[in-house]
Amino acid sequence: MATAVRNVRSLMNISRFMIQSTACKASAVSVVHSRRISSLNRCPNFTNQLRPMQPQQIQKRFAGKNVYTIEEVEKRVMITLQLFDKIDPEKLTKDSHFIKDLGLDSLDQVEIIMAMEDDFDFEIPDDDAERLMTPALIIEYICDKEDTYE
Amino acid sequence: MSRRLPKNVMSLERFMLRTEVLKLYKQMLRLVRKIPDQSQRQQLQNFIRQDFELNKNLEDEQAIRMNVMRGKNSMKELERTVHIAQ
Repeated sequence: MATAVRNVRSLMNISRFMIQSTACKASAVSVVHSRRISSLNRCPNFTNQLRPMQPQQIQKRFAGKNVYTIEEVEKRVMITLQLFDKIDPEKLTKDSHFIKDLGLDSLDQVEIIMAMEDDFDFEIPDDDAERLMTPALIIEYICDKEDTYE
Repeated sequence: MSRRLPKNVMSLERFMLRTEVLKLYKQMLRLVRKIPDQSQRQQLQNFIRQDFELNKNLEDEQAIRMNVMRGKNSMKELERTVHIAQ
């Protein structure tokens, strides 16, 4: 019984000590903080940006994801194809079939699809890839899979 | 009932094999991309391409399957070398 009382008393002392010390620290921090803030308030332009954002002001941003228009996609696809050394740029149109019109073979088609994957930075699964036989189909596919504006 | 399919459509077996070959080619190309040295990468790409083209006109399915196996083994070796090089 005596030990219990002694323990409780010691605990109370400890807690009092801790409260006092944390109170001291808290007040010290708040003093520094308020000093900081008051100095910042002298430059009003800055503090507007430093004020914490309200939840309704937070906008959604697609970090790293690009947004394309259809013309951009078309241009990039055609440029990538023209840079391909086995394609004759004279014959290349949006509807020229890789195998039937341009005389390429299926291995070339695989290389072309990989070039598109690299250019637009997203993966095209194999079963979709083997169906993309003209530039028009590629453009359509990319536009479907990415966010594109009209 | 006569067959309605056009004459040059390959059998399902052949089509699956072809898909496997193209998948293998794609996987190998992706591996080769990881090689930092540009000239080595180009050489290896040409080598792989030539190897595939040499066997392009094989008709026997057994032979095709054997070559696909050979290709897969080569790819495993290539993977090991690429990882060591990095």
